[in-house]
Amino acid sequence: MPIQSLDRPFTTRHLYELVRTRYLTPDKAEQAMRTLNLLPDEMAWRQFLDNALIALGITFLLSGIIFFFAYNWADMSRFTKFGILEAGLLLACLIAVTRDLSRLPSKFAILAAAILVGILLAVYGQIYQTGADAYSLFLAWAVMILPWVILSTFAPLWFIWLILLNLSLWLYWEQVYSHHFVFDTTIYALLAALNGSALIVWEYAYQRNIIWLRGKWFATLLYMATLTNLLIPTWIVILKSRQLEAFEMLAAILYVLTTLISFGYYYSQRRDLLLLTINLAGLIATSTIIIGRAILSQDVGSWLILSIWIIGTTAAAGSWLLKTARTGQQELTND
Amino acid sequence: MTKITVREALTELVAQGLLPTVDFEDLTKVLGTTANEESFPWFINVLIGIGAWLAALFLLGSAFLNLKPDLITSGVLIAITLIICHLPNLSLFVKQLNLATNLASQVLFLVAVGDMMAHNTVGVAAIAFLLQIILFVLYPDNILRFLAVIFAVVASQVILFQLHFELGHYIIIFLIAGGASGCWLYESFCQGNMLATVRQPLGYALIVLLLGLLIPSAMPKLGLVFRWWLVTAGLTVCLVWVEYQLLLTYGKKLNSWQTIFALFGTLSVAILLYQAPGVIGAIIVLLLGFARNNRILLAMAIVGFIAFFITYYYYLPITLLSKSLTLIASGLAILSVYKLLQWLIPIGK
Repeated sequence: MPIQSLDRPFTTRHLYELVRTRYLTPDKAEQAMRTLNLLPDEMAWRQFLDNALIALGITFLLSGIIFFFAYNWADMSRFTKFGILEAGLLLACLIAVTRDLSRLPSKFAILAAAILVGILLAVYGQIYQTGADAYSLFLAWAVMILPWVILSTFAPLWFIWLILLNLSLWLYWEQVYSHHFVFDTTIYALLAALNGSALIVWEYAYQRNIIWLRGKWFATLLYMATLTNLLIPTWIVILKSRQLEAFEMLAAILYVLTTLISFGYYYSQRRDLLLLTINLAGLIATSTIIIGRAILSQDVGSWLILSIWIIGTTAAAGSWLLKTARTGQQELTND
Repeated sequence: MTKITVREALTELVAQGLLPTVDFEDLTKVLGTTANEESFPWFINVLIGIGAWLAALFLLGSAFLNLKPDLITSGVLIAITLIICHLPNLSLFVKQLNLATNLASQVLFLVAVGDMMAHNTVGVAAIAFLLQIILFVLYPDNILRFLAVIFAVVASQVILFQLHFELGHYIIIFLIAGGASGCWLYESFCQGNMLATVRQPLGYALIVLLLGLLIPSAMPKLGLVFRWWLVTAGLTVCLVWVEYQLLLTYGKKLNSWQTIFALFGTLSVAILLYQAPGVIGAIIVLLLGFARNNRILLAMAIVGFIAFFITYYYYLPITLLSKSLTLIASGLAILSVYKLLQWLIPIGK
């Protein structure tokens, strides 16, 4: 049985529909919104003003302090610079340990401490001109904060840690291994492997019901990162005119396998429409590039064929996704 | 602000005497369409939209590949899309395809106009402005109306810039601020008249324009020489008006202490931030967003604050030291207002 429209959440759109169809006058609509708590009451305003004033006040104050230090930075001695950063780091750590680690203030304190470690390393490199490659900064940063990342059980901090690993790998490849890395399919395959592994771990944790890691935004970002790092070499393979190397073919095969496996998983095991949509968008883009590569020219017909192809595939994908979405809603009401 | 169902809401409204005793079956038909529109996830609509836009671009590419854009062909295309958009029961894909075709045709039309007018910038901008007004009235689509408002204002800015009419820029910014505030404060009242279908795209477009037009205040390299303190003054008047309207809604009078407090606090902050009209603009958007319980406006206000803070850091006409002192003073002033409010009305009273 489909969800009854009257059992859906009531929104202002419903109220405005009542005004447009003359069931309600505009005056009564405003009154109705306050009655139904669709608009804030005096108490909510009071709380909002408190939160807004303190957030703005602290932001302005802290920004002013940061600007002040930025102004005087060049004139500060190295000990003052290290002192300020280490004092900040110590303060963040103290806040984290004196409060409950499972609560948000403590987690944000660990996050702040983790970021300050990176800033400290950057200032160290700037002052002592160590000549180290940039990738070693990010790698060292990632290694040093790993214990805190594990202790914090805080998904955003894990995400930042993964960004550091990605940056380390990317910069290592650029600085040490290959100067034409943008068209080098190996680095994309490695990044896809890194993010893909993280995604598999996340899915495992999700199935095991680990609460702090259940935010689907994390999986969405990891999936997008994995797929993007497989799409780029695949498109390079399609567009290249010279003979393909074995590793380039491997990247394209990996993309096909990842698409098929993830499609099956996100349809049957953990229904996730957003990830299915991203999957299909990648397929549509890739198929369009294949056809475009084969036929696109000054000939009007080739543009027309491409246009029809895009219309057809997008309409089919959209139609299938909408049907899947409706089936999912029906299953929810039947449960 | 907890969620309730449509059924619960209607029952409550009847109990409060705001709705007459209703036939729920009748209302299912009225509200059922609204429910269906909400039931599909936004990302599916985005996929369909992007596909339609790409298809339209390739379609138009095929049409104009070997031809120079001309007024008649692109004009006819715009007219065809205007007819199609009024047809009943169009699928989402066809609507987006039609919209994309209309936008691409507008570009081709203006390129043809530019060729015809020997690339006279003011002339092309004036034609673009008129075209956007016509489409805003005639094309019943929120996305096109949103873009039409943006393009119309951009065209007007181009005309004013070419004619070196500085006062015009201030007038437009003040009109936009006032218009945006009115659109959102009187949201319900717009639903009962002809503004019902245009209020939403107009409201969002004006907010985007308000924040967008204030960005140059923090980027002197753009070469737009404005007396930004004048803009701050005008926006402060708008902000005070918004606050007063909100206080009136809750039954507070002009001589109530809440009104005096709001006026005093606003003026103090505005004087300290006279070089940063963008922050005043973002505060207006923040208040409107909270007043109407609109997360999109709240998010835009936060993005606006972040953007203005970052551009303020790179604002070269004043030194980093002056900026730091201004920010510290403003921060302390805002925290004083916070403390005063706590003392006057502690939470819970």
